[in-house]
Amino acid sequence: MDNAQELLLLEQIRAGDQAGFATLMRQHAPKVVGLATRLIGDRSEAEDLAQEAFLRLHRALPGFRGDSSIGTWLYRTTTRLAIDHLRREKLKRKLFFFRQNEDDPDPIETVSDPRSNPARDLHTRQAMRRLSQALRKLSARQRAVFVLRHHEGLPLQEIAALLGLETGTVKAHLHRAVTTLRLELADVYEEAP
Amino acid sequence: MKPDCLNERDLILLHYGECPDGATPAAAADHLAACAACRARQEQLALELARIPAAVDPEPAVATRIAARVNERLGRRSALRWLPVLGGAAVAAAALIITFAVRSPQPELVQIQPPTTANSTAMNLEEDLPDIDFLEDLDVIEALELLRQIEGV
Ligand SMILES: [Zn+2]
Repeated sequence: MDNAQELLLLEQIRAGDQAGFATLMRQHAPKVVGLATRLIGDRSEAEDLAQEAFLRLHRALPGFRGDSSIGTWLYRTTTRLAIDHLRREKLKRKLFFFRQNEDDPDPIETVSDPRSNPARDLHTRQAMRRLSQALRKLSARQRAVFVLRHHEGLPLQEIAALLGLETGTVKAHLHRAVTTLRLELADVYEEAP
Repeated sequence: MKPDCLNERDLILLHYGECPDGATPAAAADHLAACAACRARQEQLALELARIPAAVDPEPAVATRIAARVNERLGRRSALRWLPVLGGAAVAAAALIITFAVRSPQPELVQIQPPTTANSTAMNLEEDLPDIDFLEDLDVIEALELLRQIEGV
């Protein structure tokens, strides 16, 4: 959907076209859920977060002037909601002295994906699990910067604008995140074929 | 390592195609071409980062599921907005509509209150975004609230 089509759709939604908002959601939902899953590491919580992002979008539509695309707006909102979510999770763990059990199944794996192959490579599954554990060692911002740069391919300057941070700060977060992940995943790399 | 060798941070930035801090991109490239040690470190970094797995993309059905759930919540919201002005019988009818909406096989067709400009003309899209620093304050408030609950104050 290009910008002109999107603006037209927005006009229709504002005029009361109820199916238009559903079209908009179906268009953006896979990307939003994918991003949220990578950011928080839990598919079902990522879906809740995506719902919240779309509810906020619906509330914000009357004020939408079209100076940024819906996709960019959703990206920014999802990232900020994810950072908020990660911080709250960390806080809860700190306050209740709750530690994630190392043997807990990885939340990404527990969500069944109809396309997944049951005999998926064991090494990949273990690597996913280790990555999930390693990502938990990062601060919410470090994790967001890493995911946005490494998985989503966003330039650091865009990430800085997205998170309202200086580019230097974003660089520091990326450095810290990569260093921590390399350290945490060192033995995974050693075992890799 | 020679004094002009690239540090870890610059190697990471170069890996992601970003401008390094300690040298111009051209100077960094010249150094990498001339220094086998830095090239080896750069290759090792690239190898390790390439092995980081990515989460599986969501299945296409996720879009329909999310749209249905959001529509359901929007439908519930607009129903709740009218509850105070409805009589008892109308409340029961609204409850029925909500129940029906929840069970509807085509939830995107649920009647939704369209977004209106009436009460939000001055609303800037930015204002609806959670502000990160504000959220930090919220975390502190939440922490105090949780502590209060734990201690039963
Ligand atoms: Zn060197």
